[in-house]
Amino acid sequence: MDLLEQIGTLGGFNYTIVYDSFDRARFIRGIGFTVSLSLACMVTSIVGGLVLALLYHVRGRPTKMLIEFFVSVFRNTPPLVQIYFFFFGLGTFFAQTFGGGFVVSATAWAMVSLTLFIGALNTECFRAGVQAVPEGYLEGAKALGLRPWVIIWKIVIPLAVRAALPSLTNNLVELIKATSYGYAIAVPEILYVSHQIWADELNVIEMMSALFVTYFLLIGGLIYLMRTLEQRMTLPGYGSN
Amino acid sequence: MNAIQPSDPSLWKIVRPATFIFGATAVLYLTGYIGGFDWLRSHSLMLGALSEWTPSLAQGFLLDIWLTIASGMIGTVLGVIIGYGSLSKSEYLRRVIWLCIQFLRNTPGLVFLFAVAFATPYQFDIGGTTIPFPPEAKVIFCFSLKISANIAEIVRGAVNATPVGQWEAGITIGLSRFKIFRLIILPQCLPRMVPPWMNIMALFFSVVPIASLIGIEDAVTYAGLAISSEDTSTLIMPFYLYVLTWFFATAYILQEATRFLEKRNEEKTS
Repeated sequence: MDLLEQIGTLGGFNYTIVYDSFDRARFIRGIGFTVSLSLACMVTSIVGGLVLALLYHVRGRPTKMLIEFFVSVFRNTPPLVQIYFFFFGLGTFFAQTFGGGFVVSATAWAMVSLTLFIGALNTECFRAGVQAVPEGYLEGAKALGLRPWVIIWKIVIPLAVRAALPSLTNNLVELIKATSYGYAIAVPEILYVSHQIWADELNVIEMMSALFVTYFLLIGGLIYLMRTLEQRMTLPGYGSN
Repeated sequence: MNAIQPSDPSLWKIVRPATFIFGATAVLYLTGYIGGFDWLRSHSLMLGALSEWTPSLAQGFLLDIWLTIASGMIGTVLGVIIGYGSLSKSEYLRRVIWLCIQFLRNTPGLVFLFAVAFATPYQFDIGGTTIPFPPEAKVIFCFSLKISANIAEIVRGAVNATPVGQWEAGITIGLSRFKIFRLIILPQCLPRMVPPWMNIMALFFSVVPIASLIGIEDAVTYAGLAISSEDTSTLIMPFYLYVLTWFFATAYILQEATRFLEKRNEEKTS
């Protein structure tokens, strides 16, 4: 018995991910998958949310209604059913319409559906952020003769993002938690991988605790990063201190 | 602009979209029922199958609603107690409660549900009596804990927003800390707490379907059953869309009601 095995089986527990190289590799790959899925969806949902929030304020009434409809649909329906709808529903529909060659992986569909779900939440929070930009700033910018896109890029976005940061943090935490729904359509993220491991090794409690710790660290790390970012981006003369 | 209106239109505004959706569903179902499934089936496979499976889906959907309400009630009571605890004078207690709240809020519901479902026994034997712990109870246990952590945060936020003078006034008339909380602080905070409380309920209503992954027969389970027994892939999308519509209609009422209450609160304070 080597040292790792002794550590892994300490106290009667059986942490196979500590000493079994196969399980450890699986678990680490699962963590990597969850992280990369979360990062990819973060980028797409933040960009998408920002664009929709700007369109909401710039464009006319039909666009507004469409965006409102999009947001309330994705906010008010279960994300699990959304994923099912995209993977089983749209997936088979596309495969039938475009022939057998059109196969998109479960991961891609999970990404699409999580992007839309979190994108809807982000749209809502950026919309509030854009609304918080003082009217006077925009008038001042117009008076200086700045072009509309310069106003948006240099004035609206920096201020809106700052105002939206606290609720954006909540949404991104929601995103990391929502990646676990990928389990339902066999996306090899950490929960799915852990399920495989505990099915093989019958160590449910050990894997559960490992999962809790992993998610807690991932989300704690994200919250810490976002807090740091928030402090870095504080404007002098704004906020409570 | 201040034209006097014959009746308060806001409630109707809230209910209208939902009634439309439910009405359309009812018409769909009734035409399927009256016209006979065979007739509809021959004319439209999709409508026939949807109306045929509507009772089962409704049964599962009611279970979803019931699970949400049950865990919401338990979670609210628990959350208020935890929220009171997080305002305690003892630094130690506050830290422990803070850690518990963070743990409950920042771990995925699915992982928590799996932990409760797979790592707890089916029944407890305490002194000869067996207390069963069926899957439904496990789901309620799991969600009420998760809801309570969110409620506790709301309570803490609302209490911190009340002036300290209220507490001091309570002390001067000789009330205990808990009595001040219950008789003076909580009633004041109530209107401010209701909208976020409803948000939490709406949020968890759309999370509850994950219970289908541990074998609860809710709307999603029945949708899956319907799809696999109808055996045509053309029905997959309509069925999930149908379930999504049901959830949307219900959660939409909650969302609009929340907005209405928020607006009324703002009007009152301004």
